[in-house]
Formats: sequence, C-alpha cells, structure tokens
Amino acid sequence: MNIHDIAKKFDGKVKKQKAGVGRKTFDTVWANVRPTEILDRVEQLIDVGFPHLATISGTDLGDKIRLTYHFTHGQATGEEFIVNFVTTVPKTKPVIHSICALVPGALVAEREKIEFLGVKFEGIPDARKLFLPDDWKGAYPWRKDGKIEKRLERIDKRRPKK
Amino acid sequence: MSTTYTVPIGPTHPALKEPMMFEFEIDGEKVINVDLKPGWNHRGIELAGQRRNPVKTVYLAERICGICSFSHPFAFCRAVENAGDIDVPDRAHYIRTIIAELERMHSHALWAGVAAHEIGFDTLLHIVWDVREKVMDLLEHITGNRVNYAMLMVGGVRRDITPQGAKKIREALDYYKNLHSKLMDLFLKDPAIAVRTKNVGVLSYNDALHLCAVGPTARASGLAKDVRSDQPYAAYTQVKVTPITPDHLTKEVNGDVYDRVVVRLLELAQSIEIIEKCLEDLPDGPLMSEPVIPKLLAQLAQVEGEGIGRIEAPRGECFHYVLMEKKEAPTTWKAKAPTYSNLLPWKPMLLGAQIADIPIIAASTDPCIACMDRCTLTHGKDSRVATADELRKLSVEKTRRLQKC
Repeated sequence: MNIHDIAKKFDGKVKKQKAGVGRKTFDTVWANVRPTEILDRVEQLIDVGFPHLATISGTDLGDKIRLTYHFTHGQATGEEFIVNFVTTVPKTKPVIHSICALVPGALVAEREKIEFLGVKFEGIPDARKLFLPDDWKGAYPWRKDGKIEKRLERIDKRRPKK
Repeated sequence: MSTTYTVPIGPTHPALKEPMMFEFEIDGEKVINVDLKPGWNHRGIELAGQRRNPVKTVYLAERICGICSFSHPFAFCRAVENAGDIDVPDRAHYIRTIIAELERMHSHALWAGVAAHEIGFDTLLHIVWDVREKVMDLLEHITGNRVNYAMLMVGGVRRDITPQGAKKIREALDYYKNLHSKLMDLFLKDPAIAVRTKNVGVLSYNDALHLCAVGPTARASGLAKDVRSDQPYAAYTQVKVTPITPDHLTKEVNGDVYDRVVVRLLELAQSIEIIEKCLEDLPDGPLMSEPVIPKLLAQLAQVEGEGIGRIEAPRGECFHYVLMEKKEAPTTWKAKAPTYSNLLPWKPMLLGAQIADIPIIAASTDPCIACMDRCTLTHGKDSRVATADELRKLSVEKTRRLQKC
C-alpha cells in the first residue's frame, strides 16, 4: 500500500519534505485520530503491515494534552514512510486506551507519558514509574502548569553563588 | 515454598558500563524473569531544551551521550530544519555523512572491545581499543575533540574538512582496511568466542518486530531496517546503503549475540566504503545556509510547525521531534535514543539465559555508556587525582599537536 492509500485510509494529510543531496522528497502522513479510536486505527495500520513505533511525543496545550504516535510503515522494505497519529485528551480526564496489546513495544513510550505528562493508559500491563524515581510526586515534568518551574527555582536558590 | 530467588544487578555494577537496574528471578542458574528499571541517569535534557533556543540545544543534544555525540544533534538539526524548511548545502551533507560514519566506526570498535571484555577476553579488548584510537585521533584532528565534536549547526556544519584532513581520513581508512580481515578472524574464528556467543541471548525476528527493536540488534535478528536505506538523508541519497543482516556472511540468521558481532563487524567495513565514496564526491560550496548566528536565531524564532529528524545512529534509529510555535524555544522536544527502543527486546534475550551470560547479553545491544568525570594519574608509586583544568590543558595541547602533524 503506498503513501496516498494510507493517507486516504486514515483521512490524513501528506506533507512533502526534502532530504539530503539532490533534495530527495520524502512524504510523511499526519492523521488526526479521536482518542476513543486509537485502538481501531492502530489495528488497521497493523492490517496493512506491522509498523514500527518510534515513540509517542506529548505536548501540554493548556486545557488539553496532545499525543503524537510516530509510526513508520513498511519497515525493512526499502520504501518506508512515517505515519503520525495525532490525538488530544482533555486535561481534566487524560485517559486513552493503551496500545500495548497490539504493539508490545509501546510500553516504554506509554510509561514515560504516564510519569511525565500524567496521561492514563487504560489496560496498560505495567503502569509503574520508569525513568523517574519511585518516590517522585506532585509534578509532571512536561506539563506547562508552572509546578516544575517552581521546583527548578527552589533548586537554583540552593546552588552556591559564584 | 518458592524455589526461586531474586538477584539484583545494578544500578551500578561491574558488569554494566552505565547505571541500570536489573532484577532477575533465578531458578538454579537459569533466569526465569527479569524486571528493568532505567532512569538513574535521567537529566531532564528534553525539559532543558524546551527552555533554550535551538542553537543552544544543538550543544545540549550533543551531551545526551558522549559516544553518540554526533547522532543526537544530527537528528535534532534535521528535525528543526524539517520544521522550518531550512535547506542544507551539499558540502555540509557530505561532511555530516563522513563524521556520522566515523562515529559509527569508533562506536562499533568500542562495543567490540566491551563485548570481548564481558566474556573475559581482555587481550582482545586491548587490541580493539588500541585500534579504535586511530579513528578517535582522526575525529580530534578534524573536529578538535574526541567526543562532543561541535560540528553541527542548524542548516549545515561548523567546520570544513580540509585537504589535509581528507588525506588523514584516507590514511586511517587504509589502516582499517588492512586490519579488518584480522579483526574478523579474531572475533569469528575463535572457538571460545563462538561458544560464549552462539545461541546465547536469542532475539527472534517476531520479537524484534513486535518490540520495535532498532539498529544492529534488529538487523541481527533478520529485520533488515536501516534509516540510511529506508529513508535516505544527507549524502545517503547518493551513496546507497544495504542493510546488513548476518546471513550476508554466515548464510543464516539466528538472532544471537554472535550474529550481533557479525553485523557490527560487517558495518565497520561498510562505513569505510561510505566514507571513501563521500570523500571522492565531496563537492565545493558553503558549509551553512545561514552562517550569521543572530540572523539564524531570528529566522528560527519565526518558525511555526513541527518536524521530525530521523537518522541511523550506531545503535539504531535516533528519532527527534520538535514542535515550534514562533517562540525562542521549541514548545516540545522529544529525543528518542536507540537504547529506548532496545530496552524491551532485552527481556526475551535474557529469559532462559544462564547467570554467567547476563553481562554479554546485556552488552550485546550496545547500550549507551556513561562517561567518567575525573581520572587518577599514576606513575610508579606516585598517584594523584588530576583536576579538570589540568585534563583540559593536556587535551588542548594534544589537539594542537595532532593538528600540526
């Protein structure tokens, strides 16, 4: 399945970009996905070939959290392209279904989003802290709500002045 | 009554070169379960990058890891260039490719030494690390530093490869070409290495696929993925790269530690070929699209959009994502190192293994290694701890010496 079929299937946009010597174009699909649909969408992607999940990136948009699932489709075929699923969850109820049952390799990325952004993944097989210490409490480092800034200021004050 | 017991290895342990916590459940000598806990070295670099301008973050990205100190800023620059639609001159593309391949050579040589050490073959460790010095000196000659090269800038590279530098590179490549068959023999024909690595730490093709393994770890299991050929960038659009799987040499794929040795050794030869081709084709021209940094910063502060930078680091796919919203600093920066993807594949490799094989299996994915922060000088009976300033002075002197000859 080529990139335009994929873009059509997921109702996404194709962004053309240039890379390297000769400005070779490479295309990337960006598709918006409703949080309730994420499992279906990933399943549909698996149907056309098992994708590689690079990572999930997350941004605090104020009242919402935006999650981008960066997949690459067609791995090891020589005709690979990136498929991004973009979804937003409300900060008051940041819940989305875990995709670990379909892509087991998503566990690291999902556990990271739990501790850094406070997103809850339903049905995740392991929701413990990963990169942060087990006793870390109170602030989600990538949320832009000022809590982490306050912590950093406190640390700065404790530093000896030069 | 439970017949198993728990063996913790880490967070710091002689068998590991960087802090990582493994908790093994052992039955007799056999590993029946393993739990991983990373994060002992997490420095919040992504958060720091969201509080700085992209030019400062190039240097910050360089410090994610000493060994991959070209890969991370490379992926970051590509992500920013992608978001801001910034063109890179051809000469810069070629220089980026050459340095990236030199980094792969030194990284694979470093790994080969560590692997030899983990199975108790320290003579081989010293041989490999001795030959690795040639490429380290070469990188120092070209960039001014053994690691943290400060070569990259958004939209190009900061330093040129002079004709004298190109001559040095050719000499070093000849040195490695003569040595390569010897290294292959040392690693692949040694019965002790074969016994310790064949059918040890097996990662099946399906596990590699489903657990999203990357780089030589994935390729050794027959998953022929390589960003350089899958989505060519820089000069890889002109220099074709074939993903190396172990069957190129052994006619079979077992996905064991031996296969990971084979893949990395073959990639060493591949890197030599790529650099030779790049040196041949190296075009003339500018190094940066915008050499005046304040102008570049003003341009970057107007960028609105998101970008992805993907490159093939020595350990696999290095993936950076930036979201820029016409501000000084990017709103989001996510850096995904290859070891992040290769964390989960550790589990199937370690299950069912013998305790004695844990160090070599853990090392076989080539996890990133943390650097030393001070060193002790010894001469005869005297020993003392050298200060950072002293070390810096010695290192600057050595670089000057290298650049003169």
